[in-house]
Amino acid sequence: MQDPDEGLDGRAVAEGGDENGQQSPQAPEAQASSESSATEGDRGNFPQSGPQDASSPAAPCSPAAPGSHSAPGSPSPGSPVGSGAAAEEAAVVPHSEQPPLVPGPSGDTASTTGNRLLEFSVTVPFRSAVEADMARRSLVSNARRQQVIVLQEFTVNDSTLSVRWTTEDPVLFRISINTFLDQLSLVMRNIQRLEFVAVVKRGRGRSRES
Amino acid sequence: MPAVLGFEGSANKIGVGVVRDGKVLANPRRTYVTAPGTGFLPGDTARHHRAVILDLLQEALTEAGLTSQDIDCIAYTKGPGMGAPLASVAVVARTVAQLWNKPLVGVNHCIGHIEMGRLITGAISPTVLYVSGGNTQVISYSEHRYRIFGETIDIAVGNCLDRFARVLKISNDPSPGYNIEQMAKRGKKLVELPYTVKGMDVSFSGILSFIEDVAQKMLATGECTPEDLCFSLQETVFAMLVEITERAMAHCGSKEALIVGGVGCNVRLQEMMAAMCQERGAQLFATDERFCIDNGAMIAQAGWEMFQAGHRTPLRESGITQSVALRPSFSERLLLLTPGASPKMTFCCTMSLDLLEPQLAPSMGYL
Repeated sequence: MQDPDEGLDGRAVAEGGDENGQQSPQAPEAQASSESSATEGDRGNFPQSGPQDASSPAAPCSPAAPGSHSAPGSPSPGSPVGSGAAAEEAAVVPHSEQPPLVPGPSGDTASTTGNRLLEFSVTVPFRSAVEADMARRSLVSNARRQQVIVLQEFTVNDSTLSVRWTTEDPVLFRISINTFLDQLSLVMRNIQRLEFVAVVKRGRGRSRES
Repeated sequence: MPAVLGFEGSANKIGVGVVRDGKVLANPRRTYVTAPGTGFLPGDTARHHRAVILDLLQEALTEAGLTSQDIDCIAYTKGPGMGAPLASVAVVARTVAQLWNKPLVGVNHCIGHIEMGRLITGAISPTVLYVSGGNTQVISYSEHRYRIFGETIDIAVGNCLDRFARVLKISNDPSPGYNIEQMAKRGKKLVELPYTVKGMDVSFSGILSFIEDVAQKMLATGECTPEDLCFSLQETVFAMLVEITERAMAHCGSKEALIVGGVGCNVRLQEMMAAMCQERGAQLFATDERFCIDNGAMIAQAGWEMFQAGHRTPLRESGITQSVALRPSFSERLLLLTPGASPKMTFCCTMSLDLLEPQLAPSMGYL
């Protein structure tokens, strides 16, 4: 099901364009940065003009490999305010005393889901509290479908949307996060596009193309 | 005169339509086409929809000559369909509804087909043959009530045709069913295939298994051509559909038949249904590919009717549902119950409540 351009963990190669080869409109204040778990071409576009955080690894954290590197929790100092979606470290909270093990491709029995609680958080700054809450209400209904296995908690604090995943199932963990980020990207593009249309129709004379 | 914007994306077609008072103002659509021999997967389909939906929305507004202020309601496909595409489209519908401060209405995809068919053709109380890649049902419609008389007990007829197309590596552009239809026109030999009608219901999985098994052998030996197989498959499955439709019409004393759904575009199916209707003194209604195939306008139309009836979908209840029965919910039945309903109508309402029990066979929905 993976796009041929995606990496093994679902990350898309940033090729300078979205899936249609187009540059999406640049609203730096609302962009999710590439340091978030960008996994598709349409998010791969953001790094072209969004903030580049040298301290963040190019690879977003892969929830399927607990203990792997994660994106930093904050945007780089030089980035515009509110321009990054920060992902906290994917945490594995083992119930036992043993150190976490990286599961091998064939499945290490010690790293099966039985006692390992996986957690992941994303914080997304928006331009306003209204937009943040709008995004929450657009996205939370889809999350409810999986709440039995993957617990997803949405919180809006001022203009920041925070989402936290908790589950023992690594596969659904990854799928849920990837799905959320895909849909978040869509919501953000939607907000940008429709705001732009509304401004043009009111005759304010902006010259940006949609 | 309310104008409704409708989003449809339950399968590989994504459409955004605008309807105002029974008039379709815009109906642009895009199709996700996969390589021959393959089908479309949910994740890839959703990715396609996410990439084009905002452009489609703009296209719809431009074609309709409307702005956000002219739209009174946002309708979207709540189900049934594929989960990932449905969810992606629903996200946009919710966001648009909030941005424009408009009410949201979740629409049943099947009802969208039926209501668009009724709008375009003018059929009043038809027996509906709903045939698509995901659904095959014979439905009786009367005074805003739907009753399922017969349906497939396994796969949809469109699914049978599409999967057969993969066996022969027939192109999916513009659709496998269309290409099968064109090949069938050149078929000369009728290959005998299993004919499976079970009372009011039909079954296609056995036919598909059989033809998948014999196709390569028969083609290799030169016993028939791919065109012959396409012709034979169409004749067999369409005859089954005509039979169960006629049975339903006979039961209801119906004088109208309406074909909706993507497979309804098939001219051969329309010919066979027309012949049956003529023999019965009934009238056949069908639409062209603009409204047969999944489209946004049908969702807008169904949404328009729900909006006019006062139905709204709160954001907290706007999640999608992959499997949604065509049988209306209890609250919907109360909403649509007309004053002064006849005793027969009341009886039908009571029967519908029983039909919500999953263990009851759909064919028990007789009037």
